[in-house]
Amino acid sequence: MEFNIDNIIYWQEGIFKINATLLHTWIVILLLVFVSWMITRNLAAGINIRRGQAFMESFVVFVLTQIEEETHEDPNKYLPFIGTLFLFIVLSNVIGVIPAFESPTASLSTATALAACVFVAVPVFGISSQGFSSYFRHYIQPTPLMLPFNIIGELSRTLSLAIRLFGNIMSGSLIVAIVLSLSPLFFPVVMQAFGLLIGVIQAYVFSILALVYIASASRVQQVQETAETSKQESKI
Amino acid sequence: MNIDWFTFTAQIINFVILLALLKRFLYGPLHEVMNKREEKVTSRLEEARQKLAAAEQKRETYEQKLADFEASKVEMMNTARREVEETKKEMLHQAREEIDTIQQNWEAALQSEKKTFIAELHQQTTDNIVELLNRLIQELANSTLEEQAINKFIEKLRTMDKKEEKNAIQSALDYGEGKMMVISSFPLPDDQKKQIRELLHEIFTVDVNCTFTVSSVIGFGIEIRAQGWKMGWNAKVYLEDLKKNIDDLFNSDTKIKHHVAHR
Repeated sequence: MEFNIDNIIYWQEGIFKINATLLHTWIVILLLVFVSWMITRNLAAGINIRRGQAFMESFVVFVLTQIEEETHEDPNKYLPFIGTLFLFIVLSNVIGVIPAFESPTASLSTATALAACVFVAVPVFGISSQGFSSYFRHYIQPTPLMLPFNIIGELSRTLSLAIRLFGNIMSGSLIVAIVLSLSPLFFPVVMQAFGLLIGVIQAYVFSILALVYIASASRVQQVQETAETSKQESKI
Repeated sequence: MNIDWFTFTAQIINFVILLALLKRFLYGPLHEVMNKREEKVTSRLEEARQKLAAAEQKRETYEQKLADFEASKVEMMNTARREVEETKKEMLHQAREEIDTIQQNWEAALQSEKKTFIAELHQQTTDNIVELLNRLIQELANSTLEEQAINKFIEKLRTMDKKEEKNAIQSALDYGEGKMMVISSFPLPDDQKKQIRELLHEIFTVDVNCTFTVSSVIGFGIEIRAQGWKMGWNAKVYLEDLKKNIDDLFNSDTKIKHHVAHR
């Protein structure tokens, strides 16, 4: 049994290759895009809407509410990133339940890639909302001595994101595989169901943590700005 | 348990592609539709709010109108009642006046009719009585009565000596050159004529030229006429007295009745 699905290679040419991770990622991407296209093909702006549209609207509203509660900002800016992260991870986690399908998130490469996306997204959103210099200033707050610790903090939380997701999903698959070899009837089904729950929870955790990191990057600047404004007001 | 860097890179690219695709096929259209719906709902809510405000205003207006109407209703009712009362009084007064007028007219007409009737009755009665008596006297007249009438006439002539009448007739005879007409209701016998002529000669100093005529116009009797003056005796005088008495009687009777009716 292969625990690292990156090593299941279907085609290779030099450094280019198609392994199980990429294949299942593409399947997930195609599935998501197809379902999205099917739903948004005939959207209704009125009251009578279809079930698919209602479901997707509910999902979007749920994500928007979560973002707004966390950031207290216009949630539409963060919606595509956080929503896509959640949808991709959920579907990637859940698809592993289907026999012959593998969860792309069970690959450390995928989890790391997603964490890297978050790692890049945090300063991007921070800079876009606050500006370049004001964003990077918080790395040397309260003193420039804190710069290495802040950088280590950024890296470690990104790493923890990746490891958490990978560990949970990979362990789920691993447990099911081990249990299957021990007791082939009934029990693996329960573990699969449990795996579904864990998959959804991990997707939620990953997305919420990403949101918290992005929000904290914006909030630090807001707090600093508020403090500066109050200082100026006191001077006046 | 290591990271495959090609897979890592490919997964980042995959994720970015998925992000772009979902933005194109999911978030964009959904966001647009939700915004449209929100706008629609907002506009409808705004519309509803405006309509509600308009309705509220209308309600207040109508309530105000109702209150005004309620306030003026009592006053209007009182005015109407007063007007009705006044109209009623006026109409009753008019009706009473009309009734009085009609009654007065009717009474006047009745009185007039009564008077006319009584006058006609009186006239006819009197005329009939006088006519009847006249005819009776004329029909019953005989030589004896005629003689009596002549005697009465002669007696009257004789008694005229002391009266002013005699002077008046005397002057009339003077003026008319003694022409005198003796009218009688019956033919006078010649000796009577002669006696009368002699008597007239005797009474009047002028030479009297007597002409004897028979006429029933004077009624039963005999009289002399000279230049508008006349003197004599006939039953008509009595009948006229009778008529006068009856008239007096009628008039007094009518006055009493009228007086009683008014009471």
